[in-house]
Amino acid sequence: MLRRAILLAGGPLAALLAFAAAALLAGDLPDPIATHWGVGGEPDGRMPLWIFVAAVAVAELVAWGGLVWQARARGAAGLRLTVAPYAWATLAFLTALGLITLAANDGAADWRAADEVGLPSVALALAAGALAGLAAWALERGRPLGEPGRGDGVGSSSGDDVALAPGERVVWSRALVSRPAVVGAVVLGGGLLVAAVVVGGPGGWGLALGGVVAAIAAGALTEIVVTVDRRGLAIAYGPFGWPRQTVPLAEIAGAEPTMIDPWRVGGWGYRKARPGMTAVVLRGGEGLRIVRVDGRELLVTIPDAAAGAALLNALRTRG
Amino acid sequence: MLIRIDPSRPAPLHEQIDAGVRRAIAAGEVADGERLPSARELAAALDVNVHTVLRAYGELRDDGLIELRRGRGAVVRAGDAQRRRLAVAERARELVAFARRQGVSDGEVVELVKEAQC
Repeated sequence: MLRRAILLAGGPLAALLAFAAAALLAGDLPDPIATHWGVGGEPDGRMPLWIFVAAVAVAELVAWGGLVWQARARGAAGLRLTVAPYAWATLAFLTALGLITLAANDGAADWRAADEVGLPSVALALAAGALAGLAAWALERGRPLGEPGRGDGVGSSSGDDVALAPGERVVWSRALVSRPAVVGAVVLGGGLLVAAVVVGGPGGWGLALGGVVAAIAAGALTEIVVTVDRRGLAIAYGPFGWPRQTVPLAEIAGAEPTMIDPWRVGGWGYRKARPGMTAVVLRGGEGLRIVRVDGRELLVTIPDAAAGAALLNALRTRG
Repeated sequence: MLIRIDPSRPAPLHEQIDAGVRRAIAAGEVADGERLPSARELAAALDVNVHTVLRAYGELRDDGLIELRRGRGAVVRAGDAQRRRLAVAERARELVAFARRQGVSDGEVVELVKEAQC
């Protein structure tokens, strides 16, 4: 439970306190303070001190709140492994930018006299974010990976057998949407973009870029469409069906429906569950298990997996 | 959602695809709001022309069963009432086909349905 406490409370609180303490204890801040720097590093924008402090604090509270909310919404099932690193990275990045801003202003008689802030400072803040993300990932990672439920024999489909007439063409398709992932993608992307506007300057650009990347990465796992046809299996990710992953029919040794427990395959998202096993997990529950000719396995959460497995096996025997 | 087509059947391919999607909706094999494969994906899967799939999707859209979105493919828009109606329509088609095989005329089938209501 200690890890959980650090992840959900200790770390975020430390970030918030570090920033608050710096704001309160900084001896010699002008008001307004410089909060925006030009490309050359010279201050070119200002903000009343209290608004800057409040904006950073609110942005951090939003990131923290999102983390706690996700943890609560997931209950005993644990966090999605992506949520904690994003939240921690955001918190660390914001704190670092806040501290850099305060430090540049400290001792200046007027905001125009603030120290230069350039790319090295932004790089420092990004590095802080990356380190915090790694730390959160390590904290959340320690859960054991079990063996996913194994069927009796792959290839003997437990679904209805699909009889294929010669010359008949057939396709099976189902889609699955993960609402928490949709919310997560919007909150992460939107939150970072809002923070970008508030922070401004080179740091703002970094945040905006981070927001776009985060939204795309999370967006790809909001939705999948799984298709089975004469060519094999295809998984189209995200709202635009791209990227797309395929397993050719000739590489498939067998397919069967299975129950997928995110706890036992290492979490939600696109995961290397263990060596030789990949899992695409948008929720707990019914899924399709594909065993390749070379022994590698692919697990995909999808409804009606029995029908998809039955068709794959029928297509395999038709050749 | 399972869709089967067979070029050796007399019905045109776009009608077979259309009927396949309707059957799947009626059978509850695809949920309200669920995404169907893109026209390009389905065409490649069934080895037919994209326009054949687009024609089928267009007919389904005209009947209010799916929504077509640019670049996002097709989304099923069939509530419970529509799904039930489709299921009955499915049975009606089966009844007509069965009656024809039995040598009973379509007019007689209509009469029989009216009688069955009493």
